[in-house]
Amino acid sequence: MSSPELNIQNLKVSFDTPKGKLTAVNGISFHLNQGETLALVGESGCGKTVTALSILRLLPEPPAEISSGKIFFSGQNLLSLNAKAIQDLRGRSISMIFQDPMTSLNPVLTIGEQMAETLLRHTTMNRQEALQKSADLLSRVELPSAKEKLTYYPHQLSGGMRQRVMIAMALACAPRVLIADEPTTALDVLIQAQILELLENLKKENGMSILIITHDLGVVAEIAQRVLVMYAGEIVESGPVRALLDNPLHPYTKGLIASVPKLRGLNKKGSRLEEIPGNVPSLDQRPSGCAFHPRCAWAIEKCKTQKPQLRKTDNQRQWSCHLEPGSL
Amino acid sequence: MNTENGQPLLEVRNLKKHFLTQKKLFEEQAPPVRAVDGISFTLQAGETLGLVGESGCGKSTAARTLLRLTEPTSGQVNFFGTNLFGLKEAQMRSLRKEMQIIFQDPYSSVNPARRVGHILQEPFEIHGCQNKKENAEKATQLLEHVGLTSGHFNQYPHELSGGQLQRVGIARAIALNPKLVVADEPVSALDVSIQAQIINLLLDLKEKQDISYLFISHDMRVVEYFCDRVAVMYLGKIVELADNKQIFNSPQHPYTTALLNAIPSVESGRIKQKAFIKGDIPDSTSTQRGCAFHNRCPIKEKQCEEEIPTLKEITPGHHVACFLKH
Repeated sequence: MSSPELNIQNLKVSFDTPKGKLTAVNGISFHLNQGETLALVGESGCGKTVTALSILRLLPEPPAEISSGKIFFSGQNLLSLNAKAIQDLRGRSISMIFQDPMTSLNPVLTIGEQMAETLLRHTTMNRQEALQKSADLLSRVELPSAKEKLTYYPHQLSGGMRQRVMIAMALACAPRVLIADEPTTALDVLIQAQILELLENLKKENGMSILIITHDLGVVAEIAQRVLVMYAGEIVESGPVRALLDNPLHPYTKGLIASVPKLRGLNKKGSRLEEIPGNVPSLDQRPSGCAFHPRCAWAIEKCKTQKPQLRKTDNQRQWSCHLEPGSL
Repeated sequence: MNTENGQPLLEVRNLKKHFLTQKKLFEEQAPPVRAVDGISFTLQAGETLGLVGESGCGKSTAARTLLRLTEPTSGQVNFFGTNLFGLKEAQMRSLRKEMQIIFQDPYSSVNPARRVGHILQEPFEIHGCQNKKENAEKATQLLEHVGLTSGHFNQYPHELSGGQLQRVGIARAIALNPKLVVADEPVSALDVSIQAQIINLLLDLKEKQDISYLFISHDMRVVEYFCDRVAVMYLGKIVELADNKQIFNSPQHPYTTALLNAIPSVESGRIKQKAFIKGDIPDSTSTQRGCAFHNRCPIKEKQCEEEIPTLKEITPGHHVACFLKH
């Protein structure tokens, strides 16, 4: 197998706040293989977005600080590059799409101007060619009457259309890696299904790799090959998608899966939904030992004091929990 | 209450709410936005009715209009037989005890400058109980009722998490023992693990306090779990109305089928469906003829482009607005 597109080692990100230095991402390591869709799952505040933003160095430093770690992309460590070199990479080799397509488009520029900007920055095209290419890209993401849409402003498009524009823009320079941060969360289910199908088709055509961040396990099951589950700034479980969803090893993963109602009568009628008690801890109140222990139904004495090590099985699965597998 | 005479708790008849856009100088008045365009349904006491559809289909406007939080364009809403739109403001205010609403975003639905305790005392003050000590006691009881503690009494909203604050929103809604609670996307803004907590809480309250819910959501998974009957809305109209089982096991309207097929599922062995519905929901000012869904419908026929289908009962309790199923 070829070497991974993206290899992240021991990434640690913290923020300077009035409450002191808070660690949002606490030493995580993972890799993204070529042509793979990798899902990063977790609830709000667990560090998913911070992880994604650090890859492209989009976090404002300060207050953010990448205090340790390495991010390898085609042999170079992104964290040691200067601002100019990173800018050359953004949008060309690694692109990102954001959750809210309204706030990530510039409201006072037309779609055409915004799309051409990326192409003018990274290629030798002139304005005319860039606009032509933009129209082509828009029709590739199945936006009807693409040429006309170039003259539109973002507010003239619906949420689904704006997200298509974002995707088209991200794909403009045929990047090798696409980072999609909750790309469908703001959209309705019918539009979500269209966007997911679109991402899958584009991935096949371009041979790119996708890192998708989501909290929706349904979306994960639909498009990812591998999953990373994050909790309180750490990866608590990872593995191939079907194995992880059918047989979760970490209590948090198990809880997440159980708290989603199942469709078409798979719920026991009249029974309560399984819930994870308590709340996601805030960064300044990280519990001791295993961060999940106050909410865990299986927690033992050891969990309160000792942080579990990451354990591995031979079939690509990793998890960090003191309990023996099979005891959930 | 007076359910013995078979009167439904809520009866909505041909409710319409149109918004006029601002007329520009020298331009003709644009056609109105038909946010809610003639919907009818009933809600029996103790029942939970789900109202589902994509954003912009009019579900929230319908809820606000039937509670008379905005004035309707036309139609009738009977609450235990009383026509709400015929009431004077003062009469309406005293009836509001019986009908409450829970909003989607817990942060923007409470006053950030008031302590939680104060927020929960307010319903009692407004409805005539001025005894401060008694109100504070009732507010503390409410906190415990929704799974919070008396320790939250003196906290400000920003000190609570989203899930805790949604519990405050629920406590405020149930303070005066309402018969009807409209829950407008009560769990959509919450994390998955918190969603289950809130849904369980709503179910417990329903049993304890005999509340009927009108549950608005775009999440079919939650609706199937929570609701007895379901109404599917599309562009201001109800296109299908049936029992939970009928909707989820044998959906009749192509739009309902599409919604169900589009839900990504965690279970293994699911056959992945192609997204066979293309395009976006048209905006509700459009004056296109025929069935509102015809331009996205995979099974449309000639008739669908010309005439508007009405909601008809095809099997007992199962209403569909589609020519191909009539």
